[in-house]
Amino acid sequence: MSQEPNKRKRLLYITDQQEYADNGAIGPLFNGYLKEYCDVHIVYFTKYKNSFQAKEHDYIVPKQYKKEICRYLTAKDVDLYSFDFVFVRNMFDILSDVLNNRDKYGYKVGYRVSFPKTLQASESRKANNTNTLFGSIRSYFDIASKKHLLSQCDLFMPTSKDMEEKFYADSGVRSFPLPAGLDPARITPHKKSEGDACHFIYVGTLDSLRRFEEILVAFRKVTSKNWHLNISTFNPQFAREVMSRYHTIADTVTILEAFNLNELMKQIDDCDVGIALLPNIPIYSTTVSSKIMDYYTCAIPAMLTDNPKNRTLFDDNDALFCDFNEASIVAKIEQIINMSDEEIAKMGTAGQNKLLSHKRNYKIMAQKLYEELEKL
Amino acid sequence: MTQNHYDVIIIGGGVSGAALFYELGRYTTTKSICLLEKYGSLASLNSNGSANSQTIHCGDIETNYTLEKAAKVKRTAKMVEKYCLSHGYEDKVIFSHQKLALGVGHEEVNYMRHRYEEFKTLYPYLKLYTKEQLAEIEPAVIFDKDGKERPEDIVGIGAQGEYTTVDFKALSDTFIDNTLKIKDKITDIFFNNEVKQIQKIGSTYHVQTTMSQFTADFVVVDAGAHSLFLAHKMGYGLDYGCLPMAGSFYMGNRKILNGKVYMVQNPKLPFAALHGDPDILVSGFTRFGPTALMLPKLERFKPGTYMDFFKTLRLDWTVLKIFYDLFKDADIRNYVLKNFMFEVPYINKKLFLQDARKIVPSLSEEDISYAKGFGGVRPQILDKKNQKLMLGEASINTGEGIIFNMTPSPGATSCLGNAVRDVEAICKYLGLEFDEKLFNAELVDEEPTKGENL
Repeated sequence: MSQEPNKRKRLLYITDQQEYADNGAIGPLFNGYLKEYCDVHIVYFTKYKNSFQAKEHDYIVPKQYKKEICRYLTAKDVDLYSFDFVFVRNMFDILSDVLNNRDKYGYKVGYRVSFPKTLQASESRKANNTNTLFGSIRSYFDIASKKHLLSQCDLFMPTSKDMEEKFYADSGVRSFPLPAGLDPARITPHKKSEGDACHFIYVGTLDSLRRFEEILVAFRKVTSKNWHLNISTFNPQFAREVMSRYHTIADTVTILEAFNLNELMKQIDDCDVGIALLPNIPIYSTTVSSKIMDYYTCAIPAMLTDNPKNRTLFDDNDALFCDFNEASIVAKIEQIINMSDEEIAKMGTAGQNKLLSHKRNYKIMAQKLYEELEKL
Repeated sequence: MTQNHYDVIIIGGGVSGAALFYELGRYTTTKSICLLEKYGSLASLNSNGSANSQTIHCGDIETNYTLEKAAKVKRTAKMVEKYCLSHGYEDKVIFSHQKLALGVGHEEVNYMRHRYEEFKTLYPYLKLYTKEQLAEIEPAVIFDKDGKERPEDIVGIGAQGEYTTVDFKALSDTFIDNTLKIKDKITDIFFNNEVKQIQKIGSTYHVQTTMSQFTADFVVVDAGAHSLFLAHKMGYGLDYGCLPMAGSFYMGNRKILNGKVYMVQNPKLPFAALHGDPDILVSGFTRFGPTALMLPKLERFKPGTYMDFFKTLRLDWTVLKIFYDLFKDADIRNYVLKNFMFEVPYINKKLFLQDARKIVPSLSEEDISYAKGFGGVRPQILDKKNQKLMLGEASINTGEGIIFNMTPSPGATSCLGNAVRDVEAICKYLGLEFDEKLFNAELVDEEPTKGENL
């Protein structure tokens, strides 16, 4: 595609996220700092509305049209010829359609994986011992076909190099790892929670693969009562079902739901320590999870699984490491409860500063991503 | 045989035809208008209160509407409200009930909270009700038969004190009565005149009915599913087929709900999901429904029309392809099969209850009974050109002096809005004047709410 000099480049970012989503990189990076360098239009999907919507620079598409997204957008007067780049997040069926139309419209294609969901399902079956021969074969061909699609892209944006090497090795595609980061506009200094108890918070999904209940079991075994656990999850109904099995600690656990990122940040800000303990399996040990970034945005230190990936970013001065087993978690919780407020605050602040200096800063990441786009 | 000539003939005496009759009489320089109705009274089919949920769909609790569509629907819905209030029809034609759309389960709850934030500028009266608040204003949606709270997360978006309900048959009657009062125009209505044929000879349309023959310079067909049937007979709309979806209801044996309660809708379906409404025809008892069953006829509870259905369906490979594509979708397939089961004696009530309990968890078999004689046909349009089931209304304006309208839900709510669209087309074609100033003064809200200028 010929490019007029000084003309701002245009990026269409097709995300698997639903209308109204503001979590992850979508808000600060694609819908934020990247717009300083190029025009970004985002396509969201809706499973509830039945008509197309154009909202300022963004488009909302009924979910049933996702497999024919290029034809659908064109029918709705979205000029695909005008875009220099079309990026797809997490959906290979959409990537397939975008790749099929690349020659027609002349855009470059990027693919972003925020979380390898198919691999998660496969790992989950393994973890639950529910894998079957048929499931394994299907999973093999599914992953092979995705790698084939990926190999046709111009740019691949995994959340880390480790993740790429573990799950998408030898794709032959130019790669630009785009990890979770901090939004400098949101960072706040550490604030001690109200009361004497140490307030922990866990943000995110509770499922068998994450083995969240091991954390609850650990809290149940902690001898001190000087703690409170907040669980902020998209599905509080499920969290309540889980908690119904832990009534001995029910009084010291609060289930929260964040309506948007502002509410989530407020919930984190009201706590002292974030919990990001995840099993040491490749799907979690090849990336630094986004909840860690949420915690350090509010300068609260995180309890992290002790693995090499987490150690690439943090050390014992700014994070609370422990092994992912009951005894270690109990011991670490006890240790944290006995730490002074100043010690916790110091760790949180150190971690926040370190992440910003490691360029885990969406403002810097946007600039770097744009420089990468310029090279395509 | 008599022969009468009119400026405009309207075919179909439902609320859409009646609204057009009124607007032509009230706001244009038309000299003569005629309305031809197949049966012996107005609104005897889909506009009748027994065939629909009597709801003004103004877009506030219709969860599948975009803000843009909601703004358009609101404008036309407000016309009906303003018309009724200016004539003093409160509690005779238009009624006020509280109304709610429920989001059940964390995903729907999250969506509804966001939707509320987005839509409250367009509908400033809307409120977001928590589980506790719902327990106060509409306890039946919260408590099970043992008086325990339902376990799921739940929120409601809704309002109290708004006009929500219209007896569309009564509304049709008022349109006609008010038009007949106009002195300087010929305004005729002929009942029991089923239109058999429409022909254009020169610039004049000849309308042959079972009773007589009429001529007109312009014809509007507002005859429900038969609009397309007549269009096809004249060679128009051949890219469309008609899929008549019949809806049935179950009647509560008492007032179970305090107001209207809707659910989050599946946007793939062209009509509302199961809901509960106070029935203004039956002392406010709660009516649940509608179901949705494809019937091979164009009119419910009337003899015949089977052949009309097959002619209007225009069955070919394209139609089969549309059906195949629809059935490929598990949501639609399950919905169709489930709704078919709702009509099977002995098991229908049990199955219906499973769905209805999503609204009222305590509902039991003794609480409801199949509402015999209730229900209508919603003509859904198959777009053969694009191989899709169309959502909502369709209008074929030939540009040659004849319009065919198919107005399933929210067609009754939009009757005055659709009519003014046709009025403008008629005036332009016949060189008549439309008193837009008077129309706006009498029927259009003067100050659009923020968000309406989309």
